[in-house]
Amino acid sequence: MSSVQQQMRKGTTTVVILKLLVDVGEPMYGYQIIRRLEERSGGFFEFKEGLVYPRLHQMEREGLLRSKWLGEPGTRRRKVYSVTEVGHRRLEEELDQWRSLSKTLNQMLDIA
Amino acid sequence: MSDIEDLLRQIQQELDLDRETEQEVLAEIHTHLEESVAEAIAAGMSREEALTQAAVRFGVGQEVGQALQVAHGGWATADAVVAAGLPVLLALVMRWLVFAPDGTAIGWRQILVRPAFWAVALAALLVPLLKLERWRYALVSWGFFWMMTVIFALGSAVRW
Repeated sequence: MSSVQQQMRKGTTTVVILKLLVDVGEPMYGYQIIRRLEERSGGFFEFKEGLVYPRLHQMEREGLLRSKWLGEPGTRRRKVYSVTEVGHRRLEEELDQWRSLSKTLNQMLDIA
Repeated sequence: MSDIEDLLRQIQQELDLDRETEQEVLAEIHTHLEESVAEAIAAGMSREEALTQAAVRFGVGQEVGQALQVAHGGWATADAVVAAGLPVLLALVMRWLVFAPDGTAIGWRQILVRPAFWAVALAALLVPLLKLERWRYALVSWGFFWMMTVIFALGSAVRW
C-alpha cells in the first residue's frame, strides 16, 4: 500500500465505519465490518484486520458506537456494533467536510 | 490452533487492563480468527493454510495489542481516578452536612430529615453506577465513601 493510501486510510477509518453501519442499518460484528469495508473499497484500502478493533473500541469509548454481545455462553458469541445518535451527528459533520474538501481539491487539481 | 493461540498470547502480553475487559477483548478477537479460518477452509484451504492466512491477515499481535491498550488504557485510568476521588469528595460533603460550622455534631435524627443528606447518599450510590463502566469500581467507590464518612465523622466527634 502506498503512503498516500495509508494516510487516507488512517484519516478515514472512522467515517467509513460509521457510513457502513448506517447504510447497512443493522448491528454488525467486527469480522463482518472488515469484510464489507474491503468489498466496498474494491481492494483500494487494505485493512490490517487486527487494527480495526482498537478503532472500534475507541469509537465506542467516544460514544459514536454502542455494542452488545449476541449468542449464548458456550456458543460462538459475537460482539455487534451499531451507531449512536452522537455517531450519526459525527457522520453528517464528517461527510459535509469531505464533500467540501473533495469539491475544493477537484477544482484545484482540475479534475472533472 | 497454535497460530491463533500464539497471536492471542502476543496480544495479551501487551494488555494491562482489568480482567473483565481483557477477557472481552480476547474473546472478540478469538471469534474473529475462528471466522477467518472457517471462511478460508470453506474456500478450499487446508486447516494449516487457513490458520496461517488468518494470522497474517490479522497483523502483528504485538502491534494490535499495543493499539488496544492505548484504546482502553487511558479510560481505565480515568475510571480509576474517579473511583478513588469521588467517594472522598462525597464523604467530605457528608462531613460538612453532619457537623455545624462551630464543630458541633448534628444529631442523627436531625440529619435524617435533611434532604441534602439523602441527596449526597443517593449521589454516592448512583453516580458511580452511572459514571463508572465497571460495577466493581462502583461498588468499591460506594464502600469507600461510607468508610471515609465514618472515619471523618468519628475523627471529628472524638476531637470535639
